[in-house]
Amino acid sequence: MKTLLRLALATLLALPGTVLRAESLDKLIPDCAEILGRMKREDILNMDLVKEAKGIVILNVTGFSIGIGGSGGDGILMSKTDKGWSGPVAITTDGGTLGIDVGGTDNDIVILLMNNGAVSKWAAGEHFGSSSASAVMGPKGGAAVDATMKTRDFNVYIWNKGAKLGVNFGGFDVNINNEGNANYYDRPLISAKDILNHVAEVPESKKAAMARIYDLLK
Amino acid sequence: MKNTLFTLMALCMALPLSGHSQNSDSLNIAGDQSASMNKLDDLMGRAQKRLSYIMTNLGELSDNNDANNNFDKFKENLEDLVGIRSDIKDRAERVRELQGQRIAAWTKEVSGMTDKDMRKLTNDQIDAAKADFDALDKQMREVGGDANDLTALLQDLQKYYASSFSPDSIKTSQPMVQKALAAAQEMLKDTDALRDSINKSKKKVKGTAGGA
Repeated sequence: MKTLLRLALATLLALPGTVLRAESLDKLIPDCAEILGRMKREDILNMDLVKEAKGIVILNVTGFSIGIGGSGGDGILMSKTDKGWSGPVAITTDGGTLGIDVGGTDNDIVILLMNNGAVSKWAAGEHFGSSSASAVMGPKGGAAVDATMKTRDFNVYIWNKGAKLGVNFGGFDVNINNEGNANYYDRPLISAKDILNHVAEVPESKKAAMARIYDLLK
Repeated sequence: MKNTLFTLMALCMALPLSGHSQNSDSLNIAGDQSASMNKLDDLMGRAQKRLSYIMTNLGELSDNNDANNNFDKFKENLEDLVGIRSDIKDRAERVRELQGQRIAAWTKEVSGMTDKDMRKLTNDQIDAAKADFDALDKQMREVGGDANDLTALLQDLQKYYASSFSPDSIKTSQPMVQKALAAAQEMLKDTDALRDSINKSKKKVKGTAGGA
């Protein structure tokens, strides 16, 4: 009985960090479009810098009290090649302090990946140590873009119910949501690399719903 | 005791600066209008999300992927969308109502001004606020009209599938599905543009209320 109780307690404690995440891409795409749309509308995102980016990550990260669930994020990763923006790769993030300054809050995050190396790191599902990448808050929409903004690995944008948080970036794992990607692209063994390199394209039946993200990235 | 008196005095001196009661009627209404525009924006976001789901359901249904399940989800999402649209209509009406009240209150306040130049300056501001809202209202009505057409088409598709649901009937309906998907895609884009206008207009309304 005691063991059962312990198990139930452990499950409850683990819930916020796990069960609430790993959404299907069909659900993630409208959510990410909403995040992107808001950041564009509020003039938070610098669209000149978006044009220079080689990739983008759009995430909703939920933080919980330290020691209980850490923080968990759910979102998409896309790359930009000569063919344009790729299809979405479903990802999750675990642990660390990705934009979380205060526990128990929702943070919408857009990360502009400024070089192919940064895109590859995310696509490989790496662990990001606290000093593994140069990341700072990206310049506000309309601000002039300079060379340093283009050459750093990431430009980070965070929205938290209107409050701007400082960049608190590191110590988190990126996981590729293989199941979500397989279901969306209807290809069981699809890899993030295939999606990002346009080897796998967005299925015809999903194109209309995905068009909003492409429109917002213009 | 002295400390308490000082604190009380400091509080009394601070009150007029922070108190909402100092605002004129038009500024108080502007605050309500801005809050109402926020709610309208939120509802539009919810409608966009629901429409995206519908587009996916239609796409999957057309590919004959788990057609029955996707038709059930399509019906549920359409029902939700119709509900949200009704809330949007009510909220848009409320925003219009508050605009009317705000302009009326503002106009009344101007009539109390004695200086001719001051009256002109304020009347010009009122005219600009009217013109700004008229442009937004026109855009809202245009998007609303397109949304009516799209909802009617989606409801017709639902009726069609309810009476004839087979791989053949799904195939036959493809031109209409493609028409609905194209219209939905356009609707998402137009709604993003409208939300952008609402946001800009809200900031102007809030500006008259003294906040950014």
